Amino acid sequence: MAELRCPMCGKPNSDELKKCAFCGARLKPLLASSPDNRSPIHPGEEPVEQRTSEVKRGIAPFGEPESIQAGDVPTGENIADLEPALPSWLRDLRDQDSQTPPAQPEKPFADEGWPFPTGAESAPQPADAKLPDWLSGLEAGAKEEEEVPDWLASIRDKSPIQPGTPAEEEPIAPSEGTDWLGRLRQEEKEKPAPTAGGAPPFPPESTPTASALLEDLPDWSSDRKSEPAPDKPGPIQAAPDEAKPPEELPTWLAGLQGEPEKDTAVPPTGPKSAPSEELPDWLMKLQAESKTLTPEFPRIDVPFEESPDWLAKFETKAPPAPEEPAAPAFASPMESKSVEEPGKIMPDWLAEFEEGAAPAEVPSPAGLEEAALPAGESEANLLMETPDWLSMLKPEGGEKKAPAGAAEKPEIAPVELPSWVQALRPVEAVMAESKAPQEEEKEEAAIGGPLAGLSGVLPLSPGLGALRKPQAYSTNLQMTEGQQRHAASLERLVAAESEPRPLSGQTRLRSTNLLRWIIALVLILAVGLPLATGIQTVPGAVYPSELSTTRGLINGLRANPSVLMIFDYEPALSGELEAAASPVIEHLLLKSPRLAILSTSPTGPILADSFMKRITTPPEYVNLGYLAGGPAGVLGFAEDPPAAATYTLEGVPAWQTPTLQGIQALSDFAAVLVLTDNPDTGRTWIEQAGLYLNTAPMIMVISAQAEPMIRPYYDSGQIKGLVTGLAGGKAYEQANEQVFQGAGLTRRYWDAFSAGLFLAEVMILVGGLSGAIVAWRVRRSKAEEGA
Amino acid sequence: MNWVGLAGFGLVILSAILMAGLVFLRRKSTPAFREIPAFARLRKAIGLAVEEGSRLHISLGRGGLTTPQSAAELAGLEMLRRLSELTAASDRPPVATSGDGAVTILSQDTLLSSGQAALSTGYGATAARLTGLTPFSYAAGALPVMHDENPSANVLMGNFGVEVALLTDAAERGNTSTLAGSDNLPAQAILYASVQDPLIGEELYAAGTYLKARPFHSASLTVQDILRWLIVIGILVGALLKLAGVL
Amino acid sequence: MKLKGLFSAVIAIATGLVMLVGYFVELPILVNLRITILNWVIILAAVALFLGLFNLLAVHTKKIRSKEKGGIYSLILIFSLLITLIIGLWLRPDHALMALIFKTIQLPVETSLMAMLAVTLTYASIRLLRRRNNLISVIFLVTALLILLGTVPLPFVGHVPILGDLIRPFIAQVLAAAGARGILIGVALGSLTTGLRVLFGADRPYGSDPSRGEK
Repeated sequence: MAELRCPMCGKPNSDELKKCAFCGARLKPLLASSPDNRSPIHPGEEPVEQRTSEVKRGIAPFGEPESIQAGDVPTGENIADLEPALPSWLRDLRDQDSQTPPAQPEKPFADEGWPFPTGAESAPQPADAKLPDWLSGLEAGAKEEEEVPDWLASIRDKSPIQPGTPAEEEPIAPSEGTDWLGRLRQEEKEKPAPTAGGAPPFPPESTPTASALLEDLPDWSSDRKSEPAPDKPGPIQAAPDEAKPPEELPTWLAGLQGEPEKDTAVPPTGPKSAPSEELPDWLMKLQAESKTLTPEFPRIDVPFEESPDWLAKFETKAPPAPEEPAAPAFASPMESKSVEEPGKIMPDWLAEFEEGAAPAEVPSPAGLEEAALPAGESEANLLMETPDWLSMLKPEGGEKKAPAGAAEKPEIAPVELPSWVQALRPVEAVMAESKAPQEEEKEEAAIGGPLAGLSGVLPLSPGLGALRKPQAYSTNLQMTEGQQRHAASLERLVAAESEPRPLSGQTRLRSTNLLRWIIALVLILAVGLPLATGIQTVPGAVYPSELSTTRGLINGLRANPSVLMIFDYEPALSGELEAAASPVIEHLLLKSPRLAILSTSPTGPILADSFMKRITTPPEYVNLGYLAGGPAGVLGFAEDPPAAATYTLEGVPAWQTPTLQGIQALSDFAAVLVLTDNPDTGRTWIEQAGLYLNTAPMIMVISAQAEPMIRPYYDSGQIKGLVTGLAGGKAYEQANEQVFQGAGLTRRYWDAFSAGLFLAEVMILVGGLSGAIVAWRVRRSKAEEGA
Repeated sequence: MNWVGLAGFGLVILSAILMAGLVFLRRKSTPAFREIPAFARLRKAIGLAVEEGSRLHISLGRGGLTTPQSAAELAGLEMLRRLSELTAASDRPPVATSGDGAVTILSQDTLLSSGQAALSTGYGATAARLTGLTPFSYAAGALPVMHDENPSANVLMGNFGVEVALLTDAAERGNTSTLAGSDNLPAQAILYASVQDPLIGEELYAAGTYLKARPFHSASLTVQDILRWLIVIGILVGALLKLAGVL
Repeated sequence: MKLKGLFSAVIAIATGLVMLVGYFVELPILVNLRITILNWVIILAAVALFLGLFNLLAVHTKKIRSKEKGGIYSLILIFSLLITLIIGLWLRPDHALMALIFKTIQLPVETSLMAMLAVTLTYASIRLLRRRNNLISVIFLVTALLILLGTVPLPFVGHVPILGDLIRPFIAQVLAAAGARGILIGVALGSLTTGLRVLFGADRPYGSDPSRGEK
């Protein structure tokens, strides 16, 4: 498989590829579409001259083009059959030229220093060379029809025709109808060709002119000029080639380069010499474009209907290009563009217009010699050599040079986006838009050079082209004032939702140990001093209403009564209860009772025992111990005391002792004395055992804290006697002073109790007031802060 | 049966009928009760305990199941069950203290069953503790639990006496939140002075409803309200009749 | 496990119904059954007290083993408990040594705790208005002061009749008693409905509750 070297990176690629696999550059220049494979000419390589007969024709109205490969002998064809298809003006030209002697073939562009190889480099063809096939047909047709136009005849005379050219090739004879060419040449002289901006791709001295273009004609065109004029000039008749000095140019071509044409044999073709129809467009364009010959080679359009038959004959399929080495590198970038296909006549400067052309094969110089035209027919050949395919050639580079954005009209007119939508566009979109001009610039960068006209190519300079400071893009969101306000308010709303709401009303005071110590110290002093000194600070006594009732009940007991005593108080409150119960028990002991002690508290029996042992003369008593079950146990005991409490604390059967002799039911007791600090316990005994007492009174000695719950039972008559707390005991003790001499326990506690209680009241009052003032000030300060 | 007994029996039957009827009639609707700030703070305290990975201290008091104060103990046990379910996800399970043997056994069973239901392995046999047999010994035994275990909240629900002041004072020293309720009047007075949100009167028995409204709990509160109104009406009518000389 | 819960519920509900009906309806069979059950309850309460004692030992033993804070006090407690138990079982509770232990250790400790209550309550009363500053708190404090002033005659002043004979009795026997009765009625109603919930099986403090998904 043939390898193609990339013109940009120089790396080898397969010839089947159109773009380089490494850098993506085009391997094949943008030339006129041609199904033939043409090997591209790489930079540095010398272009290889090709003969027109070997250049494949473009699209032709007469079937598929056939390209003649190098080494192939063009087959002669009788183009007389195609005579009817020739345009009339071409026939006229042919007739006119048939009358004029063949001119000396001229080497086109020989003196202009044309960098591209021209037909002048090749050896001139002998005058008696065999006409190429395509020209031979023309000659035969010309004999039968009108005379060859002068311009064609002049071409025939001037363009040298190789002797070895195929017989089928008919020389193009310049005729007098080429006055217009002279005019072109005249105009060319008057108006110098403007040069393109910047450095031309080729030296100024090598600016292509008409003469240079003519010099570029292959050898066959020069051979045709040397051939003799045919008897019957066809539309295009190739005159026998004559040796044409390189300085001589066809008149029509000389006019292109703006120099005075020495040879005036060729009358300028004008409208009168032209057929009834106008000049071919491609010629007129060529005339016009020759005036403004720039490195951007103009587009030459050759209308299909006006292409001569001899041109159509070249529109044949070219055989596959043989694997030959690439064409020699051109001296200039433009040279690389002039890729020619075998069998296809195309000047190098026109080769760049062919797009996607296959790597052209440069035919051997021998092939080019064989296909050379007569010298006199060089001009005609050049004119005629502008094949149909040239008309199809469009400088795609020019098309692609146009801005990509301007060439395409948007189908949908851009809508002006509102500011808030524009602000929401991502930064990448903004950068893409700003990058568009750069891309457009890149699109426009393919100007000049061997890749002129191509788009999407890498810049010539290494790297990414000219270094520029990157454009700074703002990262700030583009927002209007109103949008900012809305965003700020939304942010506040969201922040307010996420803020934890403080708990209201939960004020936790810090515990102060100092205050506790102060309170403790005050109370200790208040209670300890009276106890220690025995001072009496509280005069008088208080006699509650229930005192007399209770004393009356005890006084009313018979002698030696059996009394059930319930010790249901806790050790912690033993001080109050023992102080309150002592005068009552002392009063009861005056009756010499038989006591049965019971407790529903686990510590009750021990408390009772210790209490009884403090009595100076303790009475006989039976300790029934602990009664489990709470109210259920009380109820059970009330229903059947011997069954509920069978044994004493010592383990002796209780109900067989002398103390409890004759006692079988709760109602057998003379009285029930309940000592409790717990109102619930008192209620339990009242509620559970009260129904089973019958006439036996229930007397309760309670703590001050139980009075609110127990007093209703006293008020309702469910209990008969009530002694409440230390005050009740003090009063009862005071009532017993007549009997019991000396200060009792309650009297000793009373002064300390009063002092301590008074100081506690003072501290509570002072502290409460200070707390109220502080709270009020805090509330006021909060109100002021809120206001 | 005397008329007092008959009236009492009738009151029990009426309450049972009302409760059953309300349970079946109010299956789809939850009655609206007044907001009790104590339970609202308790819910927050539970959440904080779970988040902090700390434990709750639930104290059930010194009452027994065979005493009239058993209802308060049962209310405390219901609170214990509910709290143990709510704090099952916490790193440390709650600890229960009580002053009665039977209540200690029941609280231990409650904790274990709740822990098994929650697939929690933190509930052990010592999650429920008997701290003392007397009120003050019970309070003295509960103080180390409040100091050493570092609970994030204390829930005192049950039968407490004046010894509850020691517990609330220890909670204030530890700067922990306390929810307390007792059926004992002196204890309620102490709780009002020493606790931020005390449960006064019947609020102790509404804990189950406010923590997780179940049909029977809601119905029981409604029945209490109905009976209370009936008693109020009866007292007023009786007072009027007494004034009129009829009674 | 489900059967265990069901069996417990059946026993609890049946026993409760028997006790309730037996209290109101004086049928011989019900009365006898109720008394028998009561005796069982008394025995079980005592056994529960003993079980609580074992729980106390287990807790403090674990505390000693895990070397938690206050483990030394747990060691002292266990030691004291065992000593007291042995002496009591050996010498009987009415022994003088037992009385000595009770009077020298337990009694002072509990009375000291009760004395601390005086300081605690005074401190709480002083801080009441700072903790809860409202009208009810003011009424509460004023009521407490009036009761205290009317309970004991003032030092060097003596008995103040208006305080001791009028205000204090009115507050204690009328206002406080009324309030106490109302609270007690409410507590009684709550106890009633709580008992009914147990009888209905809605509350099962005695074990697992299948309705909660417990085994």
